[in-house]
Amino acid sequence: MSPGSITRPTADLRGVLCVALLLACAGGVVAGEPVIRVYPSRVVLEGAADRQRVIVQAVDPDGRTLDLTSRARLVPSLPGRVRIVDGMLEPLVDGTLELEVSVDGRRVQVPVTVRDAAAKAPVRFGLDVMPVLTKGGCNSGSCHGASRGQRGFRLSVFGFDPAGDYFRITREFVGRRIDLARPASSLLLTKPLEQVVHGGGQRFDSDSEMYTVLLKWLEQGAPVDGKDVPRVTRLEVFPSEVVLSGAGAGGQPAAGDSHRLVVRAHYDDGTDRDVTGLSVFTSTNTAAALVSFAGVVSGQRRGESFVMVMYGEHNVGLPVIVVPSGPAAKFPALPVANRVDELVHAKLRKLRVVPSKLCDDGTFLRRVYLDTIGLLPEPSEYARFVADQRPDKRKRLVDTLLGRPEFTDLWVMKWAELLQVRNVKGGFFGWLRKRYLANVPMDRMVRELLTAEGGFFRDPPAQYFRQVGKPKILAENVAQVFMGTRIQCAQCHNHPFDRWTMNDYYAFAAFFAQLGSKRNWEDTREQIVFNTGSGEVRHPIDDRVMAPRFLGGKVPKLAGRDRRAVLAEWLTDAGNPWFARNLANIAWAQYFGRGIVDEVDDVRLSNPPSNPELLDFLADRLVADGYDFRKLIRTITLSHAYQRATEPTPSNLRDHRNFSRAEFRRLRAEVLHDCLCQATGVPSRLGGFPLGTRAVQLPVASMSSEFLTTFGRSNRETVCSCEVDVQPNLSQALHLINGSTTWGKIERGRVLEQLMTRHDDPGDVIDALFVRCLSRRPTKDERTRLLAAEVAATDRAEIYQDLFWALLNSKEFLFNH
Amino acid sequence: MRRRGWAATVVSTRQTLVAIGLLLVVSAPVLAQSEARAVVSAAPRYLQRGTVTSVRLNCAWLPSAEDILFYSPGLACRSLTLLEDTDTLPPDGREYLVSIEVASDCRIGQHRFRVRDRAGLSTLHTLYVGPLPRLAEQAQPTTFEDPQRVSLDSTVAGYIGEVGQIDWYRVEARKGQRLNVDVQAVRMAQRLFDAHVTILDAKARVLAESDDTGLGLHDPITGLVVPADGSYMIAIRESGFGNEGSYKGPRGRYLLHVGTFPRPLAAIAEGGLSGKPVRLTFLGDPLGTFTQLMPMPPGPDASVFGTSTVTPMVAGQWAPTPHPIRINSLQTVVETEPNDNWRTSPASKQAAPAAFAGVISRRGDIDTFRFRATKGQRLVIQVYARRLYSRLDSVVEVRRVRDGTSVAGGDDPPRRHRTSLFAYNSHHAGWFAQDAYTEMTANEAGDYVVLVSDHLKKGGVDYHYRVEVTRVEPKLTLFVRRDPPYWRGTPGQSVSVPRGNRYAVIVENQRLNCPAGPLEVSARGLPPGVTLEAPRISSAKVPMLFTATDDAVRAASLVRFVSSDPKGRPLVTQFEQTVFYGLNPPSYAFFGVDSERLAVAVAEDYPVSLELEPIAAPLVQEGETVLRIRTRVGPNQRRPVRLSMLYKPTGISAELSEKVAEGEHVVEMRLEANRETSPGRWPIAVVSREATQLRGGGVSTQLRTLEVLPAFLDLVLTRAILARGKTVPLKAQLEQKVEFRGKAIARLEGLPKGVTAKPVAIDASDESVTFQVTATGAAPVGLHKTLSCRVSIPWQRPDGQLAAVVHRLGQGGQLRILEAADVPGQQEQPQP
Repeated sequence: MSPGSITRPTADLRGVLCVALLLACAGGVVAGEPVIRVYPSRVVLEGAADRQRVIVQAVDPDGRTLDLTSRARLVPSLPGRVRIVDGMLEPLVDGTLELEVSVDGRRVQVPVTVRDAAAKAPVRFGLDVMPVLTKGGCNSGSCHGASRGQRGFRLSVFGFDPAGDYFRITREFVGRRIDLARPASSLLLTKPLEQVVHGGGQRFDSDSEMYTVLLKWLEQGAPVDGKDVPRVTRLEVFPSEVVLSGAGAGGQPAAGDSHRLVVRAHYDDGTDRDVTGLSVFTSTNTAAALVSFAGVVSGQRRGESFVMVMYGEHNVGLPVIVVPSGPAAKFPALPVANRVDELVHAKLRKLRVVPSKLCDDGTFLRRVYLDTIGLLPEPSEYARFVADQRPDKRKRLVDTLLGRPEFTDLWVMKWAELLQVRNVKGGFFGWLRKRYLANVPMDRMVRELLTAEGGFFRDPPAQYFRQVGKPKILAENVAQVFMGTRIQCAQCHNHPFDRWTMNDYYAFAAFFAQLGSKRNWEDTREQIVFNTGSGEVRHPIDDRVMAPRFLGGKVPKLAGRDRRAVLAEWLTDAGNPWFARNLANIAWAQYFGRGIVDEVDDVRLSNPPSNPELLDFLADRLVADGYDFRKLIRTITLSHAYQRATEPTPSNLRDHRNFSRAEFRRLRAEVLHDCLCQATGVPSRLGGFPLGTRAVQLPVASMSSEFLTTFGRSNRETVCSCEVDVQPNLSQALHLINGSTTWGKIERGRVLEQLMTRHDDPGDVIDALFVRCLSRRPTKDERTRLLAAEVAATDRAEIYQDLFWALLNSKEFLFNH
Repeated sequence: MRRRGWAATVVSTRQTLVAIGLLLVVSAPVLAQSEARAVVSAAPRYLQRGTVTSVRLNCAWLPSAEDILFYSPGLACRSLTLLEDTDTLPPDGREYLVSIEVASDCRIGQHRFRVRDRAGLSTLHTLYVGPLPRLAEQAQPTTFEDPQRVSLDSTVAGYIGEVGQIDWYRVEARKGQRLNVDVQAVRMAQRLFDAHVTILDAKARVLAESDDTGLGLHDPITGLVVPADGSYMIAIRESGFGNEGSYKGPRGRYLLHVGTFPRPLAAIAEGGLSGKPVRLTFLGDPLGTFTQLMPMPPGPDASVFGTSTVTPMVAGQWAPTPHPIRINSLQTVVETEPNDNWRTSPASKQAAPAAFAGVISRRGDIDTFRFRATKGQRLVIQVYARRLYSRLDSVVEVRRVRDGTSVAGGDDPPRRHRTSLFAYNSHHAGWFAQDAYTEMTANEAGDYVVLVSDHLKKGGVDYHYRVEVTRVEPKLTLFVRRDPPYWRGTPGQSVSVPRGNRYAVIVENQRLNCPAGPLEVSARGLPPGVTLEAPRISSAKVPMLFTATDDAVRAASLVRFVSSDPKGRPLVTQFEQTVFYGLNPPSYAFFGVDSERLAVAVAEDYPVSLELEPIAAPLVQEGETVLRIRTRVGPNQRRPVRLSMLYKPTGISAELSEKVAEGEHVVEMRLEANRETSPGRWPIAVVSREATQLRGGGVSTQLRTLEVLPAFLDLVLTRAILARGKTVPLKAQLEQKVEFRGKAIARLEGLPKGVTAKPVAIDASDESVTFQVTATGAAPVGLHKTLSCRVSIPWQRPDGQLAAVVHRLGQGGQLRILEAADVPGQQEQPQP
């Protein structure tokens, strides 16, 4: 969309209100009037150049938001003090006044203050020009922000180095890029206007704000910024909530399908400014919502998007929900098991998505077994559970499973991946396991880990610091594993889709700058790590020493302490915004196949949680329960959200984000391996570990195992468990069909022999095999056809072997559902 | 690989293994040592005190073993019988059955020995002496449900033979008893087996587990006070289930000591005058700390490198493994807590030199000790902790009490102070590497304080230490270089001198604080009839020559070295020898067995004898000389005799004129020196080794002094061009450095075929020399860069005889040969 072209709202509020009223009456619900909101709630105009757009929003009883700005009348109480041009307030005379916003007979007052109306503020490079370069895409990675620039002109990508950019624009090639005698002839302007050939095409018009800013700056003589230039401290976007109607049938725009956004920057001198025209807008889900160059968001299809706003080096985001156009269907009154369900339902209600029904006992049993202990329920456990008539049997089952040692195995494996535990010797794996078995709270465990000192073998958690001497890598790992955020981008430039700047990155890495190590000469395999008390991290651009600063937090007082200990205290503090949320998210992802933030280690502004309230609740619970993982998992598994069936409803067919139904999840390599061993009763020899060692119990990931490799096990070489691959592929299918694992185990096992000895009735054998593999009895049709095949067979055992093989090869076996 | 295959056959099945009682076959050393006179294995290696045990020795290249040389008292070889060869042995393998009597007061611990064959000494091997009766491991695999039952207070010799194997043992114990488990694996001086032990109750609940320890190094030691009457399980496995990298397989042997014996984890020695009783405090036993007054064995042979061992005994029960302690004449003060604050720590009456002992008992603990020093006193402050099998990674600091000034401090010792072994194995630091070391000079008389702490501020019952504050003293360390490659066992570290013959070794040395000048070295305790000829030590390597008389009796002894400085004052002299075990190729070992005496034996007559004639002329840089060796080779010599220099000073190469044949001959060895050879007087010898040096057999000539002089002159050849059939002058520039009398003869060498130049005489005043070079019609056309000039200069020896000092100079001189028509100036004139 070209600059300045704004999709005009076409909403017909009266129509919407009428429909809403009718629906409310029909549903027996007390109808409410739409709520009118005006943004911003208070306006301060400072200086002659200051501007502020006001937007007006209505929220209808269904929660849908309508942009009424174009239809609203703005009347200042003292007309001489401000001027209103196309909805934009401009200062005239100093003083205060009230702005009366009226729409459809409703009135809202907005206080306005005008200061220094006559003061003309100069255009500043860092404050004004740099955002233009970002907005214009000039410093993006594909243009002049590329590491080698474009056509000899290089800018720092996304503007992480204003001083360097100033030099390159004004000094690097004197007389070429800017012409202070004839500012409008400067290449800096003629190129983006495409008055001369420009590989990047036209970036803006000569009547745009962007052009004006650059021209004014050049006319001022392209001055360098002094030290008094205010810095942006915070960015905010209005409105705070957007729920749009999607495109109507045939893709035609429906009423109320777009909404204008306004961006305001706050500065460290206490002032603020409307920077909408210099902000970059992007939508994370363009299938659901589009956002224009000027910041008008429009709904497309039912779903969610997140609009990212970037101004200079700052980012802010806004969730946008798109619901079907037309009247809201009635959301059923659903029972809830706990607070998790209330929060999930609240979100589904907003999306008008009706969740699936609850799954049956057999499905729940299998699902919760696989998710909690990584094993199949034994046939006896199946029989007992299905026969159990007590209403709280699911709760009892969860309690039992959480007490089993296999629960520990599964989570130790998970953490071994995240912490990249790769050696048996050294006992890092054993240390994790002991901590889990003793139910040591996660915060304490992480504190122990992050402050570990000593030799890798005698002080196992010290192995976490095997990258000693590389504070950047340690900082990245800690951020990713314990805060769920990836800061790697900020090593070289400010993060384009998140808030992290290079300052944040290097200040955070400084926590690991004083880690030292020495070789243990008694056992050269062992390294000893310790706090040296000296060493700093320097910023690569200006080589200044970076004082340790928490990511998104303050500069702490260190007072000679081990920096890692200070970091660990901050990280595991109950008030830390990352830690508990991240842990809760990891736990949730284990049970749903995707996190509330997904991927779990990719928390960023542009990837917000699908249900922030739910994530907050889980995090709060985790903190309140003293970081007891078992309690959190109990809450999760007992929720109806976890216990939903995989069969979709018409409205949740496309929903994979909001936990309205259970997802099909292929069993991860280790669990699948253990289930195969369990179903066939034949354990595998894994590396040098005692026979019977399960794949989830392996302290190492390096030993060769064709099965585990084929099914995408983690080799624990990255902190994100990125190697874990649960996508099905052909080689997996071939391995199961032709490989020795399945058939070999069936042949070597004594399962069939025992079943045939125990049961005379072929139907009982078939039932037992189904229960053993799939935790369900065969359907009537399956049973009939299998019995017919059994009768027709010459070799009864062969039929059972084939059935066993088929069951182990079935999708139903390979997937958790 | 033949030998490895043999070993593999032996251990092919567990049953076979147990049946033949071959309880230590280690495949890698077998292969490595198969070239040497070696003890490949001993079975059993564990001997109980006060018993007579038959030990099977599996040997290589020891066809006629006669006796066993033990390094420490308490063991005696009562009989030694050659067993009939079996099919499993390779051609040069032998098995002996040795009856060994172990005295009831024999020191508990590792005992070193070598087998003395008629031909000489074997490699070093060890036997372990302990107090408990030995049990064999049962043949069939054990499980938790079906363990091997063992009685308390016994020692089981076990073997983990498969990846993932766990050995299970069950003991019955009563409430309140100690249940101590001490597993020896790495400490058994064998290939690396990193054991892990777990104690469980009958319900499989883990009560205690251990992997690496302080006292046990990489071996596990653990114990508990039995909580209730009943059965207890002990599980032993490889710590990584055998999955940890290529150099360390899953297999390994261990000794499991299990019982109610005391098993403290640390010993602190108080007092400490050699030969007098010492009060020892033992810490870390499950039933708590106890003290004992123990007599220290007298004599220098009771310790190695100043360290001895003690074994605690409580109520008649001895611990199965000992504690290393330092024994010397320093008065030792044991810490009294609280002593963290050096300002308030009690004043000490100790004047340096002194020793202090204690334990860093808790996290953050600092121990402080005061001592007095006189003005100008130079002191060494060193901690013994890891060397005493403590867990302490020590840091030491010395402050002056008067004003708190820090005068010295140290963490890990500088490399030169760790051990001389670093000279040739930089990766082997053993437990020396982390013991703090510092030196100080007291710039005023008064009280000083030593502060000891852990590098990581850790502490515990087994973080014990001893600090020794001693004067800076000159010390000479000697060692016999092992034959490379270093990971191959121990050959070459002993001396076997044939009767009526000579044997030479290179002794390397490291001088610490020694005065400049050559040092005298002599030996004490040589076998009767053996003498040592040791040149004075003035460089890092010197040869030592052992000579046995014709009538010397075949015997072996352990020899100490003593040395003195140029003024005749005795020096602290230490001979160091460490045999490495648990090798992690290429050059790192997990365990070492130390000796400070060199084993020397008289062997049977050797069929080769060598005489080196006096060296006729000195060797000059860029020159050559000839050694003349009279050889006598008897008819019984099986293998060809190969002569070589015992060692070659830097820059010298040697070439033998002909092969050594049977009978009496004179062979010549031409020595060439390059420009880098250092002038000096080098004691040299020519030796004969058997087919491979590793076997250690051989004889030597007497020592002769090779004099290396700087070159007498320098010579640069100019380039010359000549056509076939022509003669041109070729000039060489001379720079004479030494005056000589008479005429020297210069001769062009390296001329291509068909080119000749007559020798030219020069005298001491010539500045150049010109050769007339003639090319025949057959001379090869082209550029030849092979020219050099041999200058033979007359030189008067000290005895008045004239000799010729030969130089080879002007290497790479160039000569271009052209076709006759190509010579410039002789081309046909162009037609007008």
